Amino acid sequence: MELQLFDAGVMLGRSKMDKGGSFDNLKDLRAVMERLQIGRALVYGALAKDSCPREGNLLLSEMIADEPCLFPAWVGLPGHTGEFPDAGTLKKQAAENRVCALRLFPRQHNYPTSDWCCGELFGAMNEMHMPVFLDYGVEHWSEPMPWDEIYRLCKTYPDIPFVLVRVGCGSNRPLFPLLEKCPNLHFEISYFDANRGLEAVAQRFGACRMLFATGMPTYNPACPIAMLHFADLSDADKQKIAGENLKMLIGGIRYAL
Amino acid sequence: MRFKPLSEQLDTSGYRIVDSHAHLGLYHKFDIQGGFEDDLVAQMDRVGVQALAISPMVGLGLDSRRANDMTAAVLKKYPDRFYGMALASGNRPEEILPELTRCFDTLGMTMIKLHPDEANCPMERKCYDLIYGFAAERKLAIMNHDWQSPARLEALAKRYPQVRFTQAHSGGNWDGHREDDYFRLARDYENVFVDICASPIFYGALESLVEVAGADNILFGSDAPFLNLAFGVGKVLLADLPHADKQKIFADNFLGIIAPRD
Repeated sequence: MELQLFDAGVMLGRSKMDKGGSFDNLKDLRAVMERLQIGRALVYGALAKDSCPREGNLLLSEMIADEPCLFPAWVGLPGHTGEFPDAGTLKKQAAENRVCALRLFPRQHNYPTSDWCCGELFGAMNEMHMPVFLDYGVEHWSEPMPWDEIYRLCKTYPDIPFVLVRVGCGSNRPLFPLLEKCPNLHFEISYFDANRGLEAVAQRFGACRMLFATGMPTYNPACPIAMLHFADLSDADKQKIAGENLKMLIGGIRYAL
Repeated sequence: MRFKPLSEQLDTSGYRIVDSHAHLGLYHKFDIQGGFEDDLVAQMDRVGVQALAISPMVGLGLDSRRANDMTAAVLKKYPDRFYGMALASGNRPEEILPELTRCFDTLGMTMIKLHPDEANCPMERKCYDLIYGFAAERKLAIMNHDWQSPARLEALAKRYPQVRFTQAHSGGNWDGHREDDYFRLARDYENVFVDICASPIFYGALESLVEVAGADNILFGSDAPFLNLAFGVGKVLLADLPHADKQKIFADNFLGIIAPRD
């Protein structure tokens, strides 16, 4: 069986190159996707992450406008400062640009996800059923995830499919009860290198809770690909994780409100 | 350029794979599903790994004798699938030589494993001299979680040329750019090795490591079941490297360092 890979986590554009690599342009990304047979990818902009979300998002959408296999994930910010669209404008722009997910970096971008700061943003995403990727910049499994915050967000915004980024091997103890209690919680597997981790989650909560992602070009795509390929799972479950789950989440977005 | 289907790229049958850095059992800091020998053998069979070199987690800092007994039982149960790494507690120096002697004279161990971080026993301590002396006398290999100083490792490599020293993890956690003296040692000393056992794993880092250190002194390690076996195998299997280099990393270099010395 060949996995039909739809990568839920790729960064496009010139990056700092302090760790891992960089996809400066579409050609760089296409070459790797072709070699590893990653058919589709949800991409966010390096400029949006590491400089200016508003400018970087629009540049990303421009870059991939003619790429049917690349889907835009915009980097979000709370809209109170004027540096990012307010919630109403964001909904309109997201629909116009067929944005497929919002990716948040609360730690790197220095804001709390509390309602008094991000309520309007999450409210809009909740209305749209827009997948929201929570990227806390975790590099190593020993770095903490804000589990209480994730629980609160999932409960407050039940129509947002939340996707946790870089859940590591040391996460089972908080992750399992969260998955049990929060049906709208998913996570991507780029760093879920737990022994029999995919199998345990699929058995207890269903394979629908996991999304294949590589974390390229910072992280090595070969690792999650091999982990999924060799997992002790049915072919059907592997294909769900490989891409069907992400396709379902994107298919559930309500652009026309 | 046409590439092979992914399933063919992930076919391990063209390689001999021997994991130089694995463990056994459970861990206090987080949950490990499975993790004992039957589970590990099932995973090795599925992924295509011939053997693992193991040190039980319980012995890394707490109880080396208990851990060595666990390893010995696994070696008896699956003699062709595991290599034993002997553990000795630096915090109980009086136990070091008797335990190492038991490991190699009776329990069938292959090499020595040190973990100064889990044991909270820094490498400056004199107790390690006992271990170096034992390894030198028997011409053994020592894998260390962290030598805690390239200068220390260089001095040891010079002083004990008959001992093969591995700096674990450094080739794996490497971001692909930072300068690292352990790589220089791996390149310059025949008896110094780095393993690529790691979490996290950066894009392109293994290919860069081969350029910097050369393929001859790099060892494959997965850290299973602390980490996922297939996750580690994938890094080498899909690397943009010649087959010959991958084979050296996957098994040949490690089999070389544990081979009996006259």
